[in-house]
Amino acid sequence: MEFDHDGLIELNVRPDQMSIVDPPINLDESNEEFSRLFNSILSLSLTETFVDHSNLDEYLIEHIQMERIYSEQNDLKLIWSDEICLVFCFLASLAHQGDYHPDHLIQRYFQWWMNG
Amino acid sequence: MVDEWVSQFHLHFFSYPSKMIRFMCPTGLCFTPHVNIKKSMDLFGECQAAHALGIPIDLDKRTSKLHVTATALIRLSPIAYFYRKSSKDKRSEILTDLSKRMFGQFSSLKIVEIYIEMLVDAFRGQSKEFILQSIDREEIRSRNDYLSQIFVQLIDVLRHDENRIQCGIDRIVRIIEKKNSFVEEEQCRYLNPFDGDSTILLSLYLQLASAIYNCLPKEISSERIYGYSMIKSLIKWIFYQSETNLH
Repeated sequence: MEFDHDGLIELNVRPDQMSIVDPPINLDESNEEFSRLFNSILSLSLTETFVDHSNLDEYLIEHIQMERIYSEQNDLKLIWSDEICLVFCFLASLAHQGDYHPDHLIQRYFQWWMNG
Repeated sequence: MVDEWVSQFHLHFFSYPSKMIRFMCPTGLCFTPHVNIKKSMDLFGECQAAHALGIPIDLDKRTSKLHVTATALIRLSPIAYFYRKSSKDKRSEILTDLSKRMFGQFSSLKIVEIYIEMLVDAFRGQSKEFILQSIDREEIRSRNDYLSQIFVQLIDVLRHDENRIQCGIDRIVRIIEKKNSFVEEEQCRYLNPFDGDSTILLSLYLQLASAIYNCLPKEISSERIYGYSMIKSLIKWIFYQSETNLH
């Protein structure tokens, strides 16, 4: 697959800093179904917070520090496991396309893989 | 004025996904994905490429070395979120199609199907008892692959969690810690230390139990969750798209 490398090298936008655009629908936690979907995904993203990671090897911390410095992105954070990232890729693809499109999905996966 | 609103909306709608493209894993730059994920992506990519070119692929040959882990349950779960209002057949169809592309011949597909239906029932507000009852136990007991084992464990924890999500979490964390103390494999040094495989049971439980009990684990204050607004917006879009695109 061809990638436009110039586009990829741009500053990545981290999930906690993205500008939010909502769909034209009024939704909040009072809608029970929405609430279930939302809580479910939020909890999923919290998986790693329950597991004790205090014994992470030194080299990993150093590795993250180095990566931050060399790619000049100080907001790199270790929050989600790979599989959870793939879940978000899939959800984003569905949200964008309004349907299951394997071509679009594989593009999302690749861009995650290449780009974080 | 209506025209202006419509065009603004379209502008945002089409630029939004391109912003989303670039974020996915905060340290995807940093760590290399696990080899199973790589293989699965490769297979998927090949399928798509072959499909586009009209070349048939021999899936058996391709997937003989692919080891399907229990994380397939999580990876395929968005089908439940998006297609919760569609018919069960529709979900099955998509599930079968996607799993074939990503995993080739997949013998535990039935288990994934069951899991997705459980999620869908949970989103509809069905009670835990109803959801647990509707599982075909014979079907599951007859299997002994890893994915099925994890699934059986999941059901067990769910059944005995005293209807409190924290109880289930505590139990699973103990299981994980006990398991981790035995593992001493040599791993690639640059894998994401947050290993989806070892925490799969916890991920599944959190996903399912939060939907059933419609709550978050209590200790966490919701606004401080990483990516909270982004996730909220994403789910709103999922909700909106799935409502307006019913098949």
